[in-house]
Amino acid sequence: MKRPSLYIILIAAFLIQLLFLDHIKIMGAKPDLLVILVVFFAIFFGPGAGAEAGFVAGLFKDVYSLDIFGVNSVLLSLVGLIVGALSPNIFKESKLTQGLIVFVSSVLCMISHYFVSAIILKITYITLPEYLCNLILPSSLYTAILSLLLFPILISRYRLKEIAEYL
Amino acid sequence: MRNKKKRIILTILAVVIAVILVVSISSAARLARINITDTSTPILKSLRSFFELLEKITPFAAIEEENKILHERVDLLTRIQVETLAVSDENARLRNLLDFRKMIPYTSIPAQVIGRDPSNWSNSLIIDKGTLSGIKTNMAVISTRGLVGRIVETGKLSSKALLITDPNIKVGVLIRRNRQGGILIGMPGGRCKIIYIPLDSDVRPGDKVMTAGLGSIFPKGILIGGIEKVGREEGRLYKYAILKPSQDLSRLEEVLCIIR
Repeated sequence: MKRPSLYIILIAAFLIQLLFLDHIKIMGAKPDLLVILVVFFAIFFGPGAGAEAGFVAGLFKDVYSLDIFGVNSVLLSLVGLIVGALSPNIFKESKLTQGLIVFVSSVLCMISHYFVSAIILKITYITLPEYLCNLILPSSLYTAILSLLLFPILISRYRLKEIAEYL
Repeated sequence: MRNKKKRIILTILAVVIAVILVVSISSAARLARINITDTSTPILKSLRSFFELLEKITPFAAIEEENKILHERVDLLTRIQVETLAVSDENARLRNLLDFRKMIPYTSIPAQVIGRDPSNWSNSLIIDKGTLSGIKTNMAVISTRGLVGRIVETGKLSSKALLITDPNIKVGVLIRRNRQGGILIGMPGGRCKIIYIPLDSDVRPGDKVMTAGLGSIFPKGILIGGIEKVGREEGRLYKYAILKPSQDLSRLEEVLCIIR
């Protein structure tokens, strides 16, 4: 995989997330295109590419949001690294598996984010179950559903079906 | 040598002409010609039909070309109409904002929303005004429909505002009907939560909530939204209320930053 291609796709997804994604919010939940991309690069190109994509995507988020700086870079890098490390044991062709990995990655990433925020910012007014019901589960589900549409496009873009080692 | 060649060619030509003349006047030759013509008739008919069809199609082709041009014009005019409507909408919104700006008793700086929080975790807006335009941290941000949030980070040309739906925000609020106070915090999912409401207070769904004016950030009396649900926190000595903001914060396009 060419590095510029990874960065171009990440930048495009980031711009969409920054400018348009709030318009497709459903009940306060919006999908996370960057998580989808990080999981995609991790599954199909291994832990190195996954971590790299995670770091870059997280850095974009950190720079443009009011979140704790660095938390997104670290968490998304870890997601890329872990999913990439597990990818040889995953049946990558299955759409269900792809969606499930995106869902679990998003949920774990956001739960970890909750604990980091709770420790650093000492937010105690909102409990984890409230976060789970109102944000984590709806957003992760939305992201997973969107990944089912995006993965085939990305697989076709990278011509992965023509390269046997990836599938 | 050359004369010999010329002679041979002339002889061959003469023989061919003679054969043609002989064949053309004989009945066998005529019969052969008719048969050949007959045999070729279906092919000729088909060719004629094909050319007739071409003659018929040609005007359609012209019409099709005209149709294409008209379609392009319709598309262009539709686009212009949509763009005009968008400009008209923007004009109406800005006029609304300007009227509102004149109405409110604070000096304010209008700004446009140029980006939104890419993270799912925090809720913020990026606006197109920064320190060069007079924006400072902790300025209250409002819209024509109520409180939006406060400025948290400022650059020279842009700033970031924390929305009232972000868990890191805290706003002192009053319930308009009974003047009961509380603290508003942001909640995931586009809602807010009012905490520290005394257990004996009369708070109902539908009550309007506004800023209390405590502290130095938010002026008093700015509408925030309406209460959706009231509940009691387990193990705590106060009630809570879930509030729906008076506007969809994910669709804001223009805001006002209040200078106090």
